[in-house]
Amino acid sequence: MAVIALSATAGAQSSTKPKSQVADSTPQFNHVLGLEDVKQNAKGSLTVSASGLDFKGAASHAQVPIASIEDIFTGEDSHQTGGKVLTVAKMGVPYGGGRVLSLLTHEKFDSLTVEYRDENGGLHGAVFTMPLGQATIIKKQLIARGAKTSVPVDETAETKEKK
Amino acid sequence: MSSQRALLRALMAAALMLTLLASGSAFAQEKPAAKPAEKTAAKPAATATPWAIQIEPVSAEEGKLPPDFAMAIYEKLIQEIGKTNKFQQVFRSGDRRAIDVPNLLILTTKLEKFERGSQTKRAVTTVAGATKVSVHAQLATRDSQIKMDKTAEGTVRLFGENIKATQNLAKNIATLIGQSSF
Repeated sequence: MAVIALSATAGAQSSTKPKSQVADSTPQFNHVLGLEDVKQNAKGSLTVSASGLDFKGAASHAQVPIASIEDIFTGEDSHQTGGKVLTVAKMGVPYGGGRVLSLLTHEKFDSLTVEYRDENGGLHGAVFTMPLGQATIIKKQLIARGAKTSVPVDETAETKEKK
Repeated sequence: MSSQRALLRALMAAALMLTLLASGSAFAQEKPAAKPAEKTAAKPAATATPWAIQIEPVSAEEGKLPPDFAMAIYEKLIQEIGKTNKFQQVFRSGDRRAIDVPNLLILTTKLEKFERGSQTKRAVTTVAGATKVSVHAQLATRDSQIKMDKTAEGTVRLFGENIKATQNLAKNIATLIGQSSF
């Protein structure tokens, strides 16, 4: 039992550690929803250029022009790492060992919500998740390029501290 | 010694069975909401008047609903209502093309309750940490004739991230719209 639990923990740690190392060099951005022609939960890179906010996935690319952005919000949440495979593996660990593993396999992440209008005036909302600290950086870059927001960056940081 | 081993094996098997049963019932709890939506999606538009719909974002008091959840509900509603095939056109909020559409219904949603749970709490306890979002959905014509006025809820009780509650909520609202006659 203990061996199974320990090996699963080690597996979980080894599966999460490389991710954080990758995140240090090139952050992994996840498109939750909202961009047309990009699949939900697609992973890729998110950059800010003069033309707008660019999301480049493995098989898709989308751009939100700066002028069309109406608001930008940042947030924070946490989730379980390891996906469905680890969830099923945790269920198989007897004596509640899987529940103990769940305590070790969670990570916090940032969320970025961008509200924008299409050429017909229709409202869109794109939601991205990313490693901690990245959402504020992207928001600052967008504001510097002229994007509108109802919540300034400093205020967002203050509300986070209060929480 | 052998009896102890047999007892240990029996206990392990029982624990595994209980875990599988608990997960099975959790899946069963979440699935029924999806089924009616799928059924309505397969049906062709049965209304005499061809309606179009414009979806407005969720209205909520400031700070009560996180913006990512609000936008996720809005985007999922557009997807799920489109799947019902009940409307000729589905317009986003502010779409100028909707101005000239004669039979337009406007869907407004107002937040009633939001409880942000925790995926870790759900995984550890299986009973606590549920994420719940409840909204009051109203479907009305331009001249304020109410065609549907109901409350819908979306929850994540065991598996999935918190934001999955928005998917369940949108499916439930689409089901209610699919079931209503106008």
